[in-house]
Amino acid sequence: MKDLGVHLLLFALVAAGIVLLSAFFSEERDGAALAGLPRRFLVFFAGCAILAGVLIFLEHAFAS
Amino acid sequence: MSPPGRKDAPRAGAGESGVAVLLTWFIPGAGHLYLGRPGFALAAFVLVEGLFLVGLELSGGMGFEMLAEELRGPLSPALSPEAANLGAYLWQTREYGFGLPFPRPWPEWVNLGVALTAASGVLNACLMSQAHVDARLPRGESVGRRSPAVLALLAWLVPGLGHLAQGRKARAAMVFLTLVALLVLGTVLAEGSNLSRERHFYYWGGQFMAGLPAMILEAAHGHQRVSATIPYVEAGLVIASIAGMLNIMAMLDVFGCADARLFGRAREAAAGGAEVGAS
Repeated sequence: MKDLGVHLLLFALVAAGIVLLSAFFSEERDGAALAGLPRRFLVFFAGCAILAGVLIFLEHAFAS
Repeated sequence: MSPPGRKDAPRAGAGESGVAVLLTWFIPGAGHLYLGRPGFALAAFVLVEGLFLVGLELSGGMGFEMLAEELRGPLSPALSPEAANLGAYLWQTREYGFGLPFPRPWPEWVNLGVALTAASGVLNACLMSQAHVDARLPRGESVGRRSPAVLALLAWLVPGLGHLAQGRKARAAMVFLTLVALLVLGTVLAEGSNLSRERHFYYWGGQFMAGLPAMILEAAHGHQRVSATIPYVEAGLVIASIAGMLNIMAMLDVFGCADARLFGRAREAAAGGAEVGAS
């Protein structure tokens, strides 16, 4: 857990790349793609947080 | 380039695009032979299979032998870029498989060899998309050098280059900076250990999709001896591999945009022609 901050930072960097490229893939115009970035980031992070929560719960419930 | 269907109604394509793509997947050029372009078909076959055979010769057919023993199975090499050149992939699997049942040294040029066999797969994937475009054009017409498939190939070679060739400069710069930064970050975290197909077969396949930047990094810093634990090696592997996978998305973006410009314009021209004819 001591390097949790580093892992979160690395995750944020990768997430930035994933969200940016998926925005470009979905929108042909750069303006529309960039304008939609904050919402896309929010959805991506919220989705990943929910997934992480479910996995931690399952680990505690069944694997420990 | 001459857009199809400029007269009264859109003319029929040269053939079924799905058939052309599948034929090309099995044998490079076969799709274009089906579409009535034997010259292009022969040139494509010689180029793709020539690249593959040179790579096979340099690597001694040991490309799939790099897969760790515990990961080997009938379909396990199918996640490598070579699988996009299906005929050659199946032939290599049958003739060489996972090699001999005892260890032996790698040939001197094995890394260049596996890069070439992998590149033949990527090239054939672009050829498949070219067949998809050509099948929808009237027989005898072609789109030339600004074909969506050529732009997708440029996008593979250097992330962002396909966008640049389309005139989408800002997007090209952002794609290039994002993907190269992720690739370099992954390499730094993994201390260069990610740049080896022998060590990380599948991650290498992902990274390879980042094109020349990945190959240059491998030539400069790859295949180093690892003598200590690398703290963030897993993170580095994942990040560098994601950079390559995201470039596939960039290639699809380039292809989709070029395809829409080409055929969208053709549809508009056909609709305009039909309206003129009706009035």
